[in-house]
Amino acid sequence: MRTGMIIGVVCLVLFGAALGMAQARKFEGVTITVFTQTPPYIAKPVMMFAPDWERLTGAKVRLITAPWGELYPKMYSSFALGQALFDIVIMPAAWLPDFAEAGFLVPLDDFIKKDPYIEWEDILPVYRERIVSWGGKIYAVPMDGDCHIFYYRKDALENPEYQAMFKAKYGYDLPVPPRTWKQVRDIAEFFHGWDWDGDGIINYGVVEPRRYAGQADWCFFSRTVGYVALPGQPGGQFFDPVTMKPRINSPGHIRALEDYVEIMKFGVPGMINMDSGEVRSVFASGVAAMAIDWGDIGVISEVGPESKVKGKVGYAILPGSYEVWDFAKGQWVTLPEPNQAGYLAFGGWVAAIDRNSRNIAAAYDFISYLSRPDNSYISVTTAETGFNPYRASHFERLAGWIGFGFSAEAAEAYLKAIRETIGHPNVQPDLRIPGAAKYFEALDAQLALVVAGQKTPKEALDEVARIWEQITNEYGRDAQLRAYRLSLGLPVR
Amino acid sequence: MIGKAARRQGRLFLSPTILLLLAFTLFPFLFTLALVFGEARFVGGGLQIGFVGTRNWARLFQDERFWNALMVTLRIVAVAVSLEYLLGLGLALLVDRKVRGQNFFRVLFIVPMLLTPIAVGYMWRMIFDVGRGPITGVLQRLGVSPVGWLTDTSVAIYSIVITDIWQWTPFMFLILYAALQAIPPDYIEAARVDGASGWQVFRRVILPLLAPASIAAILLRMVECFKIVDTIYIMTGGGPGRSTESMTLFAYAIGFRAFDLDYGATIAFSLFLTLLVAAMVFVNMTRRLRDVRME
Amino acid sequence: MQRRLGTVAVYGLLLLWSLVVVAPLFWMVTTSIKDKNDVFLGPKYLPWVDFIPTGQWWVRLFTVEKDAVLYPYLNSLIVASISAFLTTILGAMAAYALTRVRFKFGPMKNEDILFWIVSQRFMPPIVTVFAIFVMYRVTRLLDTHIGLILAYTVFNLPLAVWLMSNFLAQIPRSVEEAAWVDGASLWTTLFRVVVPMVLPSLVATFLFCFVFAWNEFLFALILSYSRAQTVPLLIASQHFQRGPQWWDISALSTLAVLPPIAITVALQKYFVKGLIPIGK
Repeated sequence: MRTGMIIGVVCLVLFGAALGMAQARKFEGVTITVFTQTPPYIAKPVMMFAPDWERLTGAKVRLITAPWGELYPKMYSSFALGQALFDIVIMPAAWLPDFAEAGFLVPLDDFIKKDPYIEWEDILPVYRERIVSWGGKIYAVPMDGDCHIFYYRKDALENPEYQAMFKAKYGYDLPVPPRTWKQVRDIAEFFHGWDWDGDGIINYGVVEPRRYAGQADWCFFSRTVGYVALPGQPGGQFFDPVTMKPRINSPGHIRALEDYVEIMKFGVPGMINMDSGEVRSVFASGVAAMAIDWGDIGVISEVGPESKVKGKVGYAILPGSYEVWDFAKGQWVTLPEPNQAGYLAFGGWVAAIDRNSRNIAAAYDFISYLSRPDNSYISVTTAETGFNPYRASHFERLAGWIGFGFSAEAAEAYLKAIRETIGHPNVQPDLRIPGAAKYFEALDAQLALVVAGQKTPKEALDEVARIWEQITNEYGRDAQLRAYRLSLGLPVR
Repeated sequence: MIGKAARRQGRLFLSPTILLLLAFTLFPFLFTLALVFGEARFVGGGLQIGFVGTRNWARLFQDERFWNALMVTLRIVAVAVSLEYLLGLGLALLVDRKVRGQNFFRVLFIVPMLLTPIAVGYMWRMIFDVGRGPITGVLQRLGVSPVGWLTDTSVAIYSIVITDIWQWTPFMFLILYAALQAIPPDYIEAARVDGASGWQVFRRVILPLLAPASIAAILLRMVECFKIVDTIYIMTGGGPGRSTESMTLFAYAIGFRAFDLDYGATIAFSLFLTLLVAAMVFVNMTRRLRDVRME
Repeated sequence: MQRRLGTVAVYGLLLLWSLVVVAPLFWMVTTSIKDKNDVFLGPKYLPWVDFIPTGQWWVRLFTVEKDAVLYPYLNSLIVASISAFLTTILGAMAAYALTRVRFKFGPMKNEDILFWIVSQRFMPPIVTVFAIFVMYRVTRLLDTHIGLILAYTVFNLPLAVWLMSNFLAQIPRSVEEAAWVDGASLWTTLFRVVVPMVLPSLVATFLFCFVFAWNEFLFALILSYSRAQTVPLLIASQHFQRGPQWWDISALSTLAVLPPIAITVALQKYFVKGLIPIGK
């Protein structure tokens, strides 16, 4: 009897071990190389989950990294020269069209269909359908959800005394949160240049990036959406979806750019030289009343050890405008409610596999491991991962956010603002066509001239339109038009 | 005067350098040449270069951004290199005298050059910061309104120049100091005995003897300064506007940010040509000065 | 009286320039002991007066971040010292040949050869680096020490040759000529006779090559991935989603400047005049 039990136990143990071994042998001896940005941001989740996955599969993960500015050239050159220097690249979604179009990446549809763990449907539709697909195929798995949201200091905007002063000065109630860029301007002016939080340090209206090559161009498009994305009129803010003529110098874009320059008067000193990263630290140091950013300011403000604004930050969808430029009619129309639309700036980080990789199955398995709901929930609620929520389940469970350091109230407000943006019926995707980097570079270079006062908004945007036409012709108008319509989810011939 | 064996050995001395240089520069040179007259495309996962004649060059000469970058670069080179030479010479003469703590000053004056340009860029970006920088703080205490060192289009380029001078005056100092040390003291004594004043000794003896080293130092500094990029990239990224965008930074933005390889190579190649012309003019201008010493 | 005034002026100028050199470095070093908010809500000048210094960034460098810091340091040391040594020797030999032997390769004479060598440094690294990347890919030199050493040697050779040939042009030939008459080889005259005379110049050249290799950014960036990463890359990577990490950048920069300073101090006795036998 006892012997039987012992034998039974031994058998069970052996069986279990054999099962474990069988699984461990799945990728025994395989080494996969992951290439992404220098740690901690983006690379950290790879470092967190690699040991577990190695134990499970017997494979080894080798992480190779490069600073942000060098990622694109390094990826491009290693893809272009073949030989698969990297198996997995974790990259910004905006680069996917370039790489997929050039045939660098492995289509993942079959893997995803057969994968019992990834829970594909849990990923928000905008990410799983638009961001990672190209020409009808899926080329990457989302790792991160990205959109711009609006941040403000509750202790400033919600202070009754300041609200009364504001009303006396501007003749209307201080709106919390502001719903138009015009209101943002007034509020920024009101809170600029005095110590409204009583810590002995002067405070300012806003902080936003304006540095060339500092991700300022996304802040520009966050302003344009409200002015040009008329509900019910699909077509996007970049090109005319029929002729592929640039829309970038429309009256709506010009007005957005005027706002973009005007608000600098109420900005933190030296704002013209700040990139998006510096803006986050400056906002967390408590000197500015408002900011625009991805989800990062929320995380840094609520859980950053040096944050001076914990619990003082309000979150909202981007402001907009009553007046919207109607491309069909070629005139301004006035709406009864402000037109606020979400903007999927950047589109988030995605993981893809090099077509020349010799370990495609192992590489996919690791990507799937990083993305499955439980693991990715840990990633988005851990400091310095740089990953923001992108699955329905990330928004539904508050416990992780509270464990992360958010108050329940802050977590709810933060997640609500993101969800509202992503789920907005008029949410605008980022530019996702081949050559996107060239288009953005041309714009960014002109924006730099405008903020330095060397060109007027109209002159600059006319110039951008001219260059964009050249780039479109270079890549072929028909191909670009097709790509643009695909990226917007419009039918193509 | 020189033996035959030595002559053969001369070739042996020269060959490693020539061979190494050829091995590393021939292919890049041809590759670049193909790019500047071609069009780079990534097709089917590989790089293809097709010939398009002078299209890139036509684009370059019509590009206002190119002319701006060229002017910015020339201004930085002209101002920075000349001031660096004068300061470096002055410091070398000062330290060359019998001063106490000569060793200390000699090391201290070299230190800025030892710091990596990336670090120098970050350091001066902090110092020039208009909100939190030390200079702003001092100016405010004095009641002077802050200067937009890196945020004002007409000032930023001089902030870059100041940074360059801070970092590279030591280069001039070190070369000129080494050259001063090699001047035989009896040359100077002989001039003194002939009744020359301090200024005359400097003008007639020291300066001509320093000519080869001066030419070498100025040319090398010029070459490096034409290629300036690290500090600007960190400090202003070329801004505000384009007021500090150097040629290399422009080439970087086009070649590596927009991944427009052929046009980026054309910009960089035009910098190479500019540099070649500038150096040839400089070398020819100074040839006579140098030949005096070669006889 | 006038003489004393002169002395005061000399020391005054020396101290003034010392201040110019030290002030920015002071800001860098103190930033590495500031708390984040002392940086963001600054400017804070003097430790213990304006702000309370913290050692947290330094402690982290030597504990949590130890490996991440140590390897780039070793890489930089290996790459910079070996390549500087090679460059100086090869450069001095080439320069000596060019200044003492008359060459003629086709239409190229000494001056032209020298100019060709120097002109190899005119090519902006931004172009050559992509081509070298392709070459290294084929020869498997990517992300290796040898790859970087070779690249830096080639990159600095024009500098070394040009500097040394100008220093050597300055040296009177009388001493060597006596040796040549006795049938000495170039090798003997260079290392027995000339090197002792131009030691300060050799040391200066070595120092330049070391410093340029130690501080070089672009080649290291493109040609190394992880195993051969160098210190400048480490510093540049302290700038990410939260902007420049001023305290880490400052601490690492301070750490990065120490080895070149140590080498300068160690080599500095060779600058002293007494070692030069000219005119004796």
